[in-house]
Amino acid sequence: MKKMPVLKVENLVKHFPIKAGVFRRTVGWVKAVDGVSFEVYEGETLGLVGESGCGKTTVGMTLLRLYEPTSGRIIVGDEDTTYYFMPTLRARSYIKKMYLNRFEKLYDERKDAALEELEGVDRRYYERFLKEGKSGLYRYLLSNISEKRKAFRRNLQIIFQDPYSSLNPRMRIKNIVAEGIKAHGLAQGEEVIGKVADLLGGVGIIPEHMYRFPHEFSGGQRQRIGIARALALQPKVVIADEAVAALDVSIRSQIINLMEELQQKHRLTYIFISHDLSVVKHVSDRIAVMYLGKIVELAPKKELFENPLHPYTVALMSAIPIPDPDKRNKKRIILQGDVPSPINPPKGCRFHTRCPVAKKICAEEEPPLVEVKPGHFVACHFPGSLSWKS
Amino acid sequence: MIDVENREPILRVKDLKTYFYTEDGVVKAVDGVSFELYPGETLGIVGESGSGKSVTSLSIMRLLDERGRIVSGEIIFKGKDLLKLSEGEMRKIRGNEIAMIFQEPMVALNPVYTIGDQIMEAIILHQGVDEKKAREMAIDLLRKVGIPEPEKRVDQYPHQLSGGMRQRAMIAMALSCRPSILIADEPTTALDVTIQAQILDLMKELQNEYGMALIMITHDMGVIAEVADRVAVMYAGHLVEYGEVHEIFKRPRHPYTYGLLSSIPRLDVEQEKLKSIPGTVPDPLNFPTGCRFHPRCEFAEERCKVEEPEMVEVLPNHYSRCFFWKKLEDLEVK
Ligand SMILES: Nc1ncnc2c1ncn2[C@@H]1O[C@H](COP(=O)(O)OP(=O)(O)OP(=O)(O)O)[C@@H](O)[C@H]1O
Ligand SMILES: Nc1ncnc2c1ncn2[C@@H]1O[C@H](COP(=O)(O)OP(=O)(O)OP(=O)(O)O)[C@@H](O)[C@H]1O
Ligand code: SF4
Ligand code: SF4
Ligand SMILES: [Mg+2]
Ligand SMILES: [Mg+2]
Repeated sequence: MKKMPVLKVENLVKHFPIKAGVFRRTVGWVKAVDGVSFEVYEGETLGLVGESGCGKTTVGMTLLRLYEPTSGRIIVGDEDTTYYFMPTLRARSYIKKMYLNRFEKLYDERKDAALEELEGVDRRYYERFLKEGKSGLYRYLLSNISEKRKAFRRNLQIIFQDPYSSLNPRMRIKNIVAEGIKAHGLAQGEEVIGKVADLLGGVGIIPEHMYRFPHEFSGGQRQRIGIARALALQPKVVIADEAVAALDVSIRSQIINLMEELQQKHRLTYIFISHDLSVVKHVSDRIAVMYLGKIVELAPKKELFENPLHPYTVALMSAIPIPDPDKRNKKRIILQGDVPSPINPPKGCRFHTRCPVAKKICAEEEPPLVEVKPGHFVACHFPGSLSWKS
Repeated sequence: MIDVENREPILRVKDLKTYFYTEDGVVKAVDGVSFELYPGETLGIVGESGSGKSVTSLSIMRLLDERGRIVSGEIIFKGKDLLKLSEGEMRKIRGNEIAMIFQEPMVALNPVYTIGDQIMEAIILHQGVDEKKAREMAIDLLRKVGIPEPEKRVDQYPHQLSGGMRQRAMIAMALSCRPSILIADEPTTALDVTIQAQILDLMKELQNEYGMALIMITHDMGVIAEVADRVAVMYAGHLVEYGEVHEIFKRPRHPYTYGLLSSIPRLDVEQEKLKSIPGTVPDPLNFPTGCRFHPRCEFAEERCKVEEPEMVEVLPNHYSRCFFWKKLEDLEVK
């Protein structure tokens, strides 16, 4: 049986406008995320790794709709959530274009048989279209939008990098953790205190300290509080964006271990964003490697490390200093040059300006992300042509 | 490997104490630190945030702000105690004999002058050549540190360069006077790993060529293992362990070093669950009594709470500040 993804991202694009002049005209675009697709399965950790500016945070923020996507589809469970936070008119035109018009055409051509070629939400929505017609599906998708938003907010939570700025300094810990519980009506009155105490205890903070303010805690403790806040709503998916990057080495492993324990206990699904491949390797089941707004390789962890196929992945792995002086002289691939700007990304393969094995075609044609083995995706014209292990 | 028995150190730091007098109290940032640096070697100083790494290096350069005071100790460089020099004499040493590069090049580079002007200024000041010659030398240096099109870059401002290029420009500036000691304080922490690899590679190459001694300060055990000949581990203003790099990584004899090494996620080995050091880094205004590591130490005994351990030589040229270092004899780090 095929595993059901809890989250499915299709061709996600986020371009930020660059404004200039007195009239704030748009003079160009930062192509921060430029066509990213992946699935996340229940209970797993998907690691998202890549160097500064490659678009990791933008992926997370766009998934959460803290940034409005430029285009693409974001499916959570068995619902398309893409239009949930769009202004009404845009949401309507999205639904018309994505489903109503497309389904009408499908029906004209193939009638009920079209169902065979559809899967996931498309299939579910087409079934409804067949049963209730165009207006039935339209009504279904647009009904209860505020409840849909609320459920979405509950199911997806984020833990930020900076435990110093992500907690409101003027709020007591109790209120920081209780905010969501109250807003979503998950507990009332005395119950709230009990719930907060449980949550804090669960992340290793003494519940009696709930009346303190954020500055009275250390960085690691603040990160624990951030985790308690994220878990308060019993989310399905937690996005951790550089959640341990700001912490001292000795504290980092405490938080990693805590996140792993909580995942087991609550059957959480994580998207773990980090620039640190060693950390990502430790926590992830599958890993997606990003470069300049694109996923260049995606594979189960073991497969990625045993058989990296994209030259950038190989270079990244070889660049990481190993804390063992005996392994000092391992062969290392030193990439030339800097990461290009996402405003004018190189034509063809975006990595071609630094790739040690680039050929003529690389500067001309963009390699698509293709599944070369079950579960192992790579976007390169010559996968596997750069090797490193001595 | 450095033959520590038979060589004269180029720099000897003896019982250095640097305190900051703040409104909240006295911060004993560096509290009795001693180490030696031998010609041509790389000494790695590793420790967590606030352990006193930067203050140690700023003390050597005598670049502390007005709140910081070196309350005792000696810093012997080529037979002279730097702490006894006048500010004028110290200025000649700084940049000329001992140079420093920082984590954030934007702090060290002046944003209103071109890269070339800044390097040329250093060259003219220390080597007494004319402007035309200095410009040629600056371009050569930029080429040497791997900046593409140095003839063009020499006239650009710091903000026009990428982070990696700025760090290269700072290295070029530091090397302009062929110092005998280079202190690098987290030179690659702000950079991406593929750029970090470029810079570490470059530094090694230049060190071989110029034969200078390097103090590499970092919190990254990987970087230390990569570049250091000898290692000093800092915790709460103290050195807690000091020795040759293989000794420190393969036979740590201080519980803190052991804890650090076992708590890092590794690319090269499979780990089930990470070990972790409980608790948090101590408040510098309020260090624990006895051994400063005792509240977090899995080997602590009653004695550790009241008595402060001294640095002792536990193996040849391998020092640890722990009463119970023998307890670590049978432990292994993967
Ligand atoms: N709000 C914004 N407006 C304009 N450009 C942005 C915005 N947010 C991000 N960008 C740009 O988009 C690109 C991707 O940024 P993003 O923060 O997603 O990278 P990242 O992979 O998270 O990097 P890091 O590892 O440094 O956190 C960068 O070039 C960045 O400058
Ligand atoms: N100018 C200053 N005034 C007051 N206290 C200071 C000053 N500079 C440093 N300190 C304190 O001295 C201690 C040691 O700081 P130092 O900068 O040496 O740490 P570090 O080991 O370099 O840490 P990091 O890894 O964060 O750079 C810290 O507690 C710090 O707060
Ligand atoms: S497509 Fe070409 S340039 Fe891009 S990674 Fe593959 S070999 Fe290198
Ligand atoms: S002296 Fe005691 S507390 Fe300190 S490191 Fe050794 S065993 Fe631990
Ligand atoms: Mg980011
Ligand atoms: Mg520092």
